[in-house]
Amino acid sequence: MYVRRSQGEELTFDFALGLIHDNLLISDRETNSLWSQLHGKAIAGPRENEALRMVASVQTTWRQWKKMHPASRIGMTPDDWGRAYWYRDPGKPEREPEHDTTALGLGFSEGTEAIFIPLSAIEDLDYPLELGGKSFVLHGRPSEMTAWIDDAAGQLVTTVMAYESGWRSFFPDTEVFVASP
Amino acid sequence: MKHHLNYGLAFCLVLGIGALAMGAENEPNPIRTVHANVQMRPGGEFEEVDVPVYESPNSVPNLAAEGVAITDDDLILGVVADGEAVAFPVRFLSSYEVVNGRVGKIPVAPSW
Repeated sequence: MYVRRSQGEELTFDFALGLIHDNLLISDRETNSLWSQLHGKAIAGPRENEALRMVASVQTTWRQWKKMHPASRIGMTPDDWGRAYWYRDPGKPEREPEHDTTALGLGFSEGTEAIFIPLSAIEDLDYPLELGGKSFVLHGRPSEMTAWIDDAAGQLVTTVMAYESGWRSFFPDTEVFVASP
Repeated sequence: MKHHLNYGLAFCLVLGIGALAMGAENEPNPIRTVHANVQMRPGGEFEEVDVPVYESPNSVPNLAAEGVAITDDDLILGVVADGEAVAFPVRFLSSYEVVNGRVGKIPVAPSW
């Protein structure tokens, strides 16, 4: 999740119907720049080559999230539920059968190194993780279709839930996590 | 404003799939364009085009959970910042691909 601020200016993002390395685009109203949604970097317009700052976020079920944060509020336009989606029946997408939700994973980069952690490769366990010369803890919760990573101080770090192919398009030399036996 | 981007895009923003096989039904009008060198379909060649841009919700409110018909199995994108925890339901996000919200005083752009 990005902080929508650049050069001290608050930005408002809309959806742009195009792709960069097979990943979708967003555009801000204030400068009409075009940004990579996965990479958070502007690819065209006045803010070209600038990167948005990320704020750490977790994708998980409401069940899991409210256990972690009982006072959480819900960010949405009232009653705007859109359409029913694939996760009603994980692995059997309702609308887009080409999407294999079992292939989802967590992408994480530190310094010049990157790792992709397939949800299918982990269990509901915590794993030690070393990347970029630093120590982290990977919290696996595939039963809730999620995983997250804390640094050595226990602070949530920024990650991206993605398909491996999407992650590789920006981090071609990424490692792929394999749980130790 | 609610609009449904009936492109078969669903949850592909972060996921890098980019299904750009558009359906014409209920297709909203773009609010502007950006000229850029991009792909217009997954695996496609890069080309100079006027990329159409569609309006996403702004000033998304953070609602009390008690009043929202969310289910335990609903996927959310959760964030804690500036003393506030907010969950953005994926069902909501995936209709727009990106929305404009705020957590505490921090302006955020959750996307899917």
